[in-house]
Amino acid sequence: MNKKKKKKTVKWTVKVNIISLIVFFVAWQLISMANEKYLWFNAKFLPSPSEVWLTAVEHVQDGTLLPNIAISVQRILLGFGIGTGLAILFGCFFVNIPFIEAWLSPIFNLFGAIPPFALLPLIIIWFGIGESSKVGLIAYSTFMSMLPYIVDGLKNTSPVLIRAASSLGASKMQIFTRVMIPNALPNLFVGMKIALAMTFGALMVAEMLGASKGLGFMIINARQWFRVNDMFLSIIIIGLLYELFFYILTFFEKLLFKWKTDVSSAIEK
Amino acid sequence: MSEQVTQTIPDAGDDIAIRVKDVSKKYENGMEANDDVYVLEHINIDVRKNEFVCVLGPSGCGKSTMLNMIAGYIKPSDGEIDIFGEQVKGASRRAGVVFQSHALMPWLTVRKNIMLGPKINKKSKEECEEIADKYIQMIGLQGMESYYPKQLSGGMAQRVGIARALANEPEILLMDEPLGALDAITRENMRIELLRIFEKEKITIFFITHSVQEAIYLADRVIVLKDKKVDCDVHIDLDRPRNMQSEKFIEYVKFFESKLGTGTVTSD
Repeated sequence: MNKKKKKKTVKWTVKVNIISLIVFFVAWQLISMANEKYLWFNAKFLPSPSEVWLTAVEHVQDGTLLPNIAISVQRILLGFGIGTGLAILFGCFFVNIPFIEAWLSPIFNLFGAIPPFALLPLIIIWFGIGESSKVGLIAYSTFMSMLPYIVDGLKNTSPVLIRAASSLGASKMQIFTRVMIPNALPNLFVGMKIALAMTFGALMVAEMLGASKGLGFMIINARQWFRVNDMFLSIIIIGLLYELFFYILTFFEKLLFKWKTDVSSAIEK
Repeated sequence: MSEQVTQTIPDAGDDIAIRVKDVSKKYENGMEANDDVYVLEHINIDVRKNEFVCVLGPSGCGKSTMLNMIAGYIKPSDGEIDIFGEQVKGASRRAGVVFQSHALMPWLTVRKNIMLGPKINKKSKEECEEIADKYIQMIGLQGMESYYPKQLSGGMAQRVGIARALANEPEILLMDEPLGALDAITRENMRIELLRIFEKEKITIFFITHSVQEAIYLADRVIVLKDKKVDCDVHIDLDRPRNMQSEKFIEYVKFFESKLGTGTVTSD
C-alpha cells in the first residue's frame, strides 16, 4: 500500500516535469513563429526550436558540430578529473597533516575568493593558449570549489564512530580509510555536483578566450557572423551536457549511498 | 539493611580482569590549578574474570568517564588502569565497547559491521565469514545480514553492536548504557538476551546504567559511584534468572535507592 502510493507520487511529478518541458518548447516555437509573422522584433534574434534543430542537422552533416562537442567533453572530463583528484589528495593531506593545512589553507582561502575566470588572461600570457592552460583553468576551478566539501566531510566524522573503530583495534591509518573516507564520500558527491557548475563556467571562459574549437568557441564565432541559430544550438548542447553529467553523478550517488536514503518517508500522507 | 549487602571487594589474584588503582580524573577549568574540576577521586575497583559488574550512579557522577578511561579514550589524571595486568595506554581491541548510540558504521551492512573487527585485525576472508556467521546466529539476525543500520530497530542495532564487539574477541566488554535508548519491552528482552550471551561467551562485562532494577537484574556486583567516589560495592546474592518481584530483589532495590537518594533514580 505504502509502496504503491510512493510510486504514484513519483510518476505524478515526472509527468508534470515532462509536460512542463513540452509546454516550454511549444511556447517558444509559437512565439518565434508569431514573431516571424508580426515582426515584433528582428526574427533572427529568436530562432524557433525547429530552426535550431535544422541547424543542428546541417552542422552534423557538414562535420563541424561533433568535433566541437567532442573537444569540449574532453576538456570537461580532463579538467574535472584532475581537479577532483587533486582536491581529494589535498583534502587527505589537510586532514592528516595539520602542518600542511596550517600553511596552505590561508593561501587557498586568498585565491578562493578570486573568481577563477579573472585569472585566465594571466594564465594565457604565462602558459599560452594551448590545451593545457584551458584544462588547467577548468581543473583549478573544480579544485577550488570542491576542496572545502572534502575537508568538511573528512573532519565531520562522528567521534563515536572513531572510538568504535579504535576499540576494534584500528590504527590511525585504518580509521582514516575505513571510517573517515566512507564518511566523507557523500560530501564528495555534493562537492562534485556543486563544482560541476564551476567546471562548465570555466570551460566557457576558456573556450571563449583564445580557442579555435569547442562549444564556447562556437558561440563567440557565431556572434562575429551574426549566426544566432548557432548560438542557440551551442547553448542548448551545453545545457544538455551539464544535465547529462549531473545525472551521471546522481546515478552513482544513488548507487553508492543506499545506506543513506531513508527507508521511510518523513511524513506519510 | 540485611547482612548480605555489605561491601565485598574480591581478593586480588591472577584472575583480575580490570584493575582500577587509585584513579582520579580532573578537567582543567581555568587558568589556575585550583579551578580544576575533579569528576572522580581516588577510585579503586577490581573486576574479576567472567564477572558482570554494573556501575550505578546519577547522571554526571563520572561513570561514563570511568568507562572511557578503561576503554583508553581518555587518560586518568592520576592512578593507573590495568586490563589483565597490562596498563591501558589507549584504545585497543583488548577492550570491546558497546555504546548507547549503537555506533555502527552507517555505510556497512549488518554483516560487514560485525566483520569489521576481524577485518581490521587482518584475519583471512574465510575466518571473517565464519565469525560473521557465528555472531549473526548468536544475535538471531539471520536473514537481515544485508540490512543497513538505518533499517534496523533500536534493539536490533544494539544487538549488532554487541555482536560486533564480541566478534573481535576482546578481553573485556565495556557497555555504556547500551539499553538506555530502548523502549521498555525491548529493554526487558535485551537484558535476557545479554545474560544469555554473558553466560555463553564467558566474558567479563563492565556495564554502566542509571537504572537500579537493571543493575540488580544483570550484575554479579553493583558499584555505586556518588560524589566522585565509590559509594558502595555490593555483591548481588541472587540466582539467575532473577525475579524482579521477589522480596530479596526489592530489598536490593530499596537499598540502592536509599544510597542514591530516593526518587532521584527512576526505574524504567
